[in-house]
Amino acid sequence: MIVVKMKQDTDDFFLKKYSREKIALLISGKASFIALCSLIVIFSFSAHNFFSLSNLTNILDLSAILLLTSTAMTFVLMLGSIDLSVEGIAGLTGIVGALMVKNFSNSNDYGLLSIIICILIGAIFGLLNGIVFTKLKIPSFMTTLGLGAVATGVGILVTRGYPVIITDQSIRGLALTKLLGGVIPLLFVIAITINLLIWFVSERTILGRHVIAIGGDEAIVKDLGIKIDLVKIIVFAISGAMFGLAGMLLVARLGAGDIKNSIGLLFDAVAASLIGGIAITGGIGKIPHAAIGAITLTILRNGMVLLGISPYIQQGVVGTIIILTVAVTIERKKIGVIK
Amino acid sequence: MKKIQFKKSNIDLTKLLPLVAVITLFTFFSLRNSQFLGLYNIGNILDFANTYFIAGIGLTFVILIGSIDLSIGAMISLDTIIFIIMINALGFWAYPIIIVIGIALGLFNGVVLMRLKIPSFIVTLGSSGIFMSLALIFSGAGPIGLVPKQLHTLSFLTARIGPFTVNHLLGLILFIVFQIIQNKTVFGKTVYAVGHSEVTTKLSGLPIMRTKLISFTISGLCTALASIVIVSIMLSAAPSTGPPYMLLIIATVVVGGTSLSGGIGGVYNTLLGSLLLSMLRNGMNVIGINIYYQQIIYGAIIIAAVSLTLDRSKIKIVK
Repeated sequence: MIVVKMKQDTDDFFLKKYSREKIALLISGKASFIALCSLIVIFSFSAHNFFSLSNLTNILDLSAILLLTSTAMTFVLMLGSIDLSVEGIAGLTGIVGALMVKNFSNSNDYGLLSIIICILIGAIFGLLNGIVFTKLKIPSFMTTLGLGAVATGVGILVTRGYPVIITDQSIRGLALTKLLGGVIPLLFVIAITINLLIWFVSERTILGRHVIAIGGDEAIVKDLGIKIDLVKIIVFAISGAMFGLAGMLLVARLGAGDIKNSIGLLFDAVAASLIGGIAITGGIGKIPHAAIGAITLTILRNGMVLLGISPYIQQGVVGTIIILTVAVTIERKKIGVIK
Repeated sequence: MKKIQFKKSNIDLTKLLPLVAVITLFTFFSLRNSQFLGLYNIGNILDFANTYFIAGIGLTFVILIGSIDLSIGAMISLDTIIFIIMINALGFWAYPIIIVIGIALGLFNGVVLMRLKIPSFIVTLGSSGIFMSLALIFSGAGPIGLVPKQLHTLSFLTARIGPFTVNHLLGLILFIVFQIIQNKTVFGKTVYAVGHSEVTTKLSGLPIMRTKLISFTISGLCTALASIVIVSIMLSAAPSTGPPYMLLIIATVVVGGTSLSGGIGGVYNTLLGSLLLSMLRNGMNVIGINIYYQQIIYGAIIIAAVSLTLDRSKIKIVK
């Protein structure tokens, strides 16, 4: 009895009477969609160029790579972990990929094969992340920070820090091709296909259900005898592979492989996942929300530009939105202690 | 049983490891190249260590309570820019102003954490965006240099007596002050208690939120002081100044033996960590290791250090 009373008391410490949980429950799953729709309406009325076909194409094109990284980030966040190595891995694979296709630095010409190599390199780093994280029991935050730095270091080492300019038309074509009469960018099609694929994995396969279960309550899942380490390693390998692909697609868009290509990917990927309504504590959220988050963030940036808002304050606006989103969606009861 | 014994020996090793590493590196580099012990080179090592140590003190307290401050990079950008603008306009008045601003930025993080009750990771990730925006607005997205007539306001900080400068004296004073705060005050004891077990500390009736607020405020203050040191060396500031410091400041704290899970380590460890990283960086150059390998070595060392210093008996689930 005393124990129960004490438990209630401690719960009361972390919960307030008006319970943000109730608000979160009301709009959970719908918050990101509501935000996206209202943003579209607001910008359509305030920025006169916003609601046009060319701007729509523009938005889809800009959101493609973010969609890819935020899908991977969301999958990791659903575990309750985080992957900070996106900038390192994408930077490294961008350079390696650029060196493998037709470029100004050497005489290689492996064409689209380079994409597979990039995905493999990303997967190897992701695998390394997963193994160090689960076997050495270092929090994923530190593991991926450290291995991300290693990947960046290898990327700098490969070209001594110089960018590699590519001339390969098949790779450039990935970013320049627009389907359906120049409306839907190919990059976006690739990204949304992978997003749906990961959605299928998370909803319809054993691996996916285990991921959600681990994010929900790891201690119980452990007692049930599920191979937690294996699930985590696979998820980190998948996210690494997707970061690797994102690195090569960045090269396709920018026309050069450079370690600095990937700067800013991390902030955006985490922001898009959180705006999409993924709880940082794991177990909440669905993969398509990452797509909604990525498109919302892109529309936010695009609309702010069309409205003529200074680019300097845009990062501040996004930062504020991250804090507010998490404040609404986080499950305080589950994490108990806020670190 | 075997596992438990392994952990015990591991913790003993943890306490000695950073000191042993500092001494080993020092001996190794001195033997490989006598120039390593030259006065000018010692000054270089101290300059580098000093900046990271001062910024690291604040982060040490934040990490001791089990939180993290990811906004230090953006804070350095904002602080250095405001500092140089203020020096150009007001001269010596810039010093008190930048200290107040540093405290305000740290307080902002702490208050958001306290009022919204969300993880420090998110708070500081979000606030780093806000600080970076402010830095871009104030600087116009470009570098700002010191006007020559205000040079005397900063030059005394880098005046050399042997290998030492006034900056190093600032580092030493901060070390003594925060060592006392950490070991002799109620606040310092509470920091360790919160790091060890927040729930127990709360049930004991100690002011948890106030402790967190003060920790984040100290982080803001120390970042401002580190910004003064950075500006005194570089004599300019830009929005891109801060972010490269972020990873290395976390590394400084962690490599010294302060555990990311909270409650273990302290200011003394951060001092060792800063000396270790600075000697490593300087020594690798002195004995001629290719600069392109350095980022890789840093990344590997962070992981190695965390795997040695992490107290795994305390956290059952590693996220």
